[in-house]
Parts: sequence; structure tokens; C-alpha cells
Amino acid sequence: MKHYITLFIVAFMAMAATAQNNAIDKFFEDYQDDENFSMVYVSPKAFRMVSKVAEGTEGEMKELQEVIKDLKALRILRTEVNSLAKYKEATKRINTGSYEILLQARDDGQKIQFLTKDSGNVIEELLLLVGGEEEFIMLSFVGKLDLDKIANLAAKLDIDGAEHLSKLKEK
Amino acid sequence: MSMTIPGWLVRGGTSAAFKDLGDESDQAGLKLIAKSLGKVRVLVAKEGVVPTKAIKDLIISAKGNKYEEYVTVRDNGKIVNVMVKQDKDIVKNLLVLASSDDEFVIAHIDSNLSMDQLQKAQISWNDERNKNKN
Repeated sequence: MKHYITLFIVAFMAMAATAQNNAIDKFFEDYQDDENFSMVYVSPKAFRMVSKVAEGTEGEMKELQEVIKDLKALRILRTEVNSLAKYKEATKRINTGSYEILLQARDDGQKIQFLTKDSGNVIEELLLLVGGEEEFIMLSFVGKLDLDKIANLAAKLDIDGAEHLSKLKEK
Repeated sequence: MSMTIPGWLVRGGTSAAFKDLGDESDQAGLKLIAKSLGKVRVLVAKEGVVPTKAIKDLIISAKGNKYEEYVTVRDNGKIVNVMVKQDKDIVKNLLVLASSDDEFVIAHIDSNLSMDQLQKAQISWNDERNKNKN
């Protein structure tokens, strides 16, 4: 009986985690075709290809390979239309309580939240939410994440929103 | 406007083109990749000729034909989709769709490009660069 109860609890937790991931996926799906949003999606296969190609190289490519070899996916949504409302919608739809708050800040009227989801000592997802009068940004990295390396990657990414990743170094 | 370039011309033409493209370090890596390229097809359409729905249907159809989405970027009315059909670690087809307010471009490349070849090209490129620096 105890075994079945344990199985039920584990299954329920797995479903809750899946539902949470689905909330983020659903948010991206709802707005990825919205013309008011800029969107970036890099798939697991793309990361795997770049990581494979960069194996055995030196210098900058080696540094990039170290960062991306454990990344699974990157998604970014950004808008300047109704940005504060979109931020509030995102925090409402995504149960940020199920994430650990890594960093919260307020800067020039913008609210910035770094949220992480861990499995043991490994960070499996980094979620960045930025919301203010001027812009709303949602950035999701999935994979085995090293925060220092992600912060270094920010300097190399010429993508709107990625500059906030450098704040990870301030933690 | 549409254009189809047969594989033999792609492979032969790139050798001649690369002589004037960059330096030896650039050419080393590019030659390795060029050997694996096949037919290239390009279609360019002016604004309004290809409806947005048709582009979306094309992407759905490509996914149904085992093309996988690698990268999608949309910004300020411009959209770029990069889709790849792979056979294990070999890139068999590359499909790039780029649309903006002014035009729509689709490029389709046949290839037999393995990850190992891409890696060798990258390493060769880096080795040549390091040689030139020293």
C-alpha cells in the first residue's frame, strides 16, 4: 500500500512539473507568431551540431563549446507593446513559486527576475523575466547550466534581452 | 526569380570563387564543406507574392517531411527559419526561409555533410588561422 502511495505522489509531482513546463511552453506558443513580439528559438539539435563542430577547437570556439555543450534549448520572447501587462500575465500564468529566485532587481522602472529550476546540484532551467514600461522579455535556457558560463555567453550574444544575463555575475 | 544550380557546378564553382574569398585560412574550411554540397535551389519573391499562410504551411509540410527546426528568429517584421533534414549525423538537406516586408527568399541545399566534416572544417580553419598568426 505504501509503495502505491509513493508511486502516486511521484506521478503527481511529475505531472505538476510537466504542467509547469507546459505553462511556459504555452506562453511561448501563444505569442511566438504574434507580430508584436520578437522571437528567437534555438533547438537542441542546433546546439548539438554547434557543440559537435566546436569539439577539438581552441580559443573562442572552445569557450563557446564549453558553454553550449550541455544546453538543450534557448527561447526568447520580447515586446515593447503592452510590456508591463505582458510581464504581469507571464508571472500569473507561470507559477514562479515553483522556481527558485536566483536574483531579483529593479532597475530604471524595470523589474528583473532570474529564476532557476534545479535537480540536485544541477540547474536545469534558467528563466529570465524582465518587465517595465518599455519592454517585456522572457528568456528560457534549458539544459545543464553553469551560470558563470551563461553570463559569459551573454557578452557574445547579440540578441536583445541577452544583456541582462550579465547580471548573473553580480550574484 | 528562381535558380537551380546543379551539384557539380556548386562544387566546381566554389573552388574558383574561394580563391578570391578571404585568405587561405577561410578557404581551407570552406573547401572541405563545398565538396559535400549538392544541388542548390533558390527562389526569391517580391512582397505580397507569397502569402504568410503559405509560408507557414510550407514549414508544417517540411516538418512532416522530416525537416527539423534548428533556428527561428523573428524581429521587426523579418523572419528567418533554418530547417535541416538529417540522417543520423549527416546533413542531407538544408532549408532556409527568409521573409520580410519586401521579399521572401527560400534556399534549399542538398548535401552529404557529416558533423565530422564540419568539425574538420572548423579545426582546419582554426589551424590555418593559428599558422598565419605565428
